[in-house]
Amino acid sequence: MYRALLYKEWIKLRWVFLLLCGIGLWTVVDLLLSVREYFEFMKPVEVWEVAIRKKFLIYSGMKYVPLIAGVGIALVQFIPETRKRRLRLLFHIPLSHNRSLYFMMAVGLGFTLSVIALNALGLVAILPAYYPPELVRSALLTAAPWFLAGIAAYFATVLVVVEPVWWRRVGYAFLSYLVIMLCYNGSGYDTYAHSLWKYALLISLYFFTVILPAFRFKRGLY
Amino acid sequence: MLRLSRFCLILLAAASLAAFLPELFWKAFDQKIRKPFLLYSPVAERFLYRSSDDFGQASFRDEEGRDYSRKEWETLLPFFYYRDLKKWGILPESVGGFPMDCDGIRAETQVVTVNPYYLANPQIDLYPLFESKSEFTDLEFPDEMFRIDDRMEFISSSTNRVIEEQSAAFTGKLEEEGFRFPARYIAGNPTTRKSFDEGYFVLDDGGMLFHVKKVEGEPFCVRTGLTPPGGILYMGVRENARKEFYGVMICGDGGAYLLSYSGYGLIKLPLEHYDPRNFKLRMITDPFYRTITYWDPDGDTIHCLATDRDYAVLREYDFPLEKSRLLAAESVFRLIFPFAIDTQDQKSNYVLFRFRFSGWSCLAGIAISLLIAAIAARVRSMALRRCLDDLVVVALTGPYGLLAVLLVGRMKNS
Repeated sequence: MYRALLYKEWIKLRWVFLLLCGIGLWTVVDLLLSVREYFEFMKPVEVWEVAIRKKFLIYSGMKYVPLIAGVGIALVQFIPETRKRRLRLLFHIPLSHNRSLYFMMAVGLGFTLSVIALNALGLVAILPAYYPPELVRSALLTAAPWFLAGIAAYFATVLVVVEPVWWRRVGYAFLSYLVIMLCYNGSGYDTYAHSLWKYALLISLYFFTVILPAFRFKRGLY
Repeated sequence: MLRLSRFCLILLAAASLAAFLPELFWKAFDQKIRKPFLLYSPVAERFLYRSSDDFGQASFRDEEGRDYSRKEWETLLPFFYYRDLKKWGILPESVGGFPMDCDGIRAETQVVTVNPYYLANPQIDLYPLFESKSEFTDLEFPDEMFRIDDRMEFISSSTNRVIEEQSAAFTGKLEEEGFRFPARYIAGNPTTRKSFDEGYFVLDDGGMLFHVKKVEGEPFCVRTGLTPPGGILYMGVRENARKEFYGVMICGDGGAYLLSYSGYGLIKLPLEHYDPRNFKLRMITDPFYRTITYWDPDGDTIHCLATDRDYAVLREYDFPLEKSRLLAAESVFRLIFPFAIDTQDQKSNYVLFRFRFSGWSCLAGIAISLLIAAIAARVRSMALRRCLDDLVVVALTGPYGLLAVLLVGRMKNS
């Protein structure tokens, strides 16, 4: 059963996943080219100094890629399910409702995390060749809340799409906007060093939220 | 599972609203508290201040509230406005025996500031070490940067590799002086826009302060013999031609100190009730006096001190800030919102997630929220005892919980 579900998700997601990987890859290539250009036209130590003291983030092109990935994958995965109430079909397969729903979300989240991992790997692959480890560590810590925003965006979009009542959808969308913007505060690097775990904890609440709108969807309760 | 899901959704909504609504409130109702500029007048021997009203109209007064014209006011502060006085042709020959020539005054003037966010500022610990005794006039940026972990390492920016020879030379010299690795704090002024370089002050793992420079390509390391009380919270090195102090240091004991050129001694600034994590500090030197002002931007007083050159207090003055216009907004806030989650603060460069309780007057806001929640339940023909859990949430979180509960709604047959 799981293999069949996985296959269904793969059919839905393959093109958007390819597109998002393309965007992710493009930001990585862009990072590589920018780094090369900076080191070509400035003294290497100046590039370091601008990164350390002026807090210029050369990798900031990646800022919204996880967010786009989370929203994109969730939309493509769940909009077809909610049209003509197809999601109800899911609840008629020989699996518990929550289990099949969470399996779907695990697949979607896996795809989102793959795009995020592509970005993280880009940082780890490119930066150490030009920058000392302190700067690479700082880049990962600085990008961590952006990655967190991607995960939040995935769950938030599922929540909004699955919710059957339009005004509640608007409310959830606004709420999710607030939560996601919490991941883009501060300027410079390492600003979430002390609070990242608190934001991670807050966003982990999303994990359970989808059950309620899915239940309403199934029962047709508004 | 359904209850857990609903609870998580309400909690998420309440938390994000607690971060958002207070910010929105203050965006709408916050008002600027105009802070006067205060200086000690060596002529009048009291504090003078310049303040401006809501229409940008400046007024010039002394601590007794006496009004001056701008020209009169500047004339009483000849060490600060000497260029204006010179332009008007009224610069005195000397003040208190100090000859009033512009270069002489400029050489005696230094401004030092410490902001709370200096103590809470993310920093990557890599620093350039300048040649302190160069043959050339301008300071030049070196190709390498150093770190001090289990040894002092120089990393070439061209190759991104450790320069073994230089690292070994500096590490050896530091070990000779008894340095205990790793460094706990590194303070310097890594800019070429200064007339000379004093290198870095490094706190070792044993709490001892070392002075590290590069002199003619060779390591210069001095064990200062100084153990800053409670470690260093912040140190700013400020090279100044006066060569009175290397810089300002905020120590773990909460005191503000100057690191003197004579024998690396610490000069404690005579501040009372100073809290470095909340107060701004500014010191302005002139040939005779130091005017020190320090204040909490959220507080209601600017503390002013005038000291002599040996930092003995000559005059103290507390300037009360006009905060009454903020009080109305503040009390309305405390009535409505039981707490706020602060994500940003002008006293820190970090992003926070800090819970701040508003005080017991929030019970009013909670009561109104509970009332609305009860009415909403009534409108939906729901018995109050069946929404007890929601009422508990509203009782704990006030309007945030109310909005969350209204948004998420209840299941009639769940």
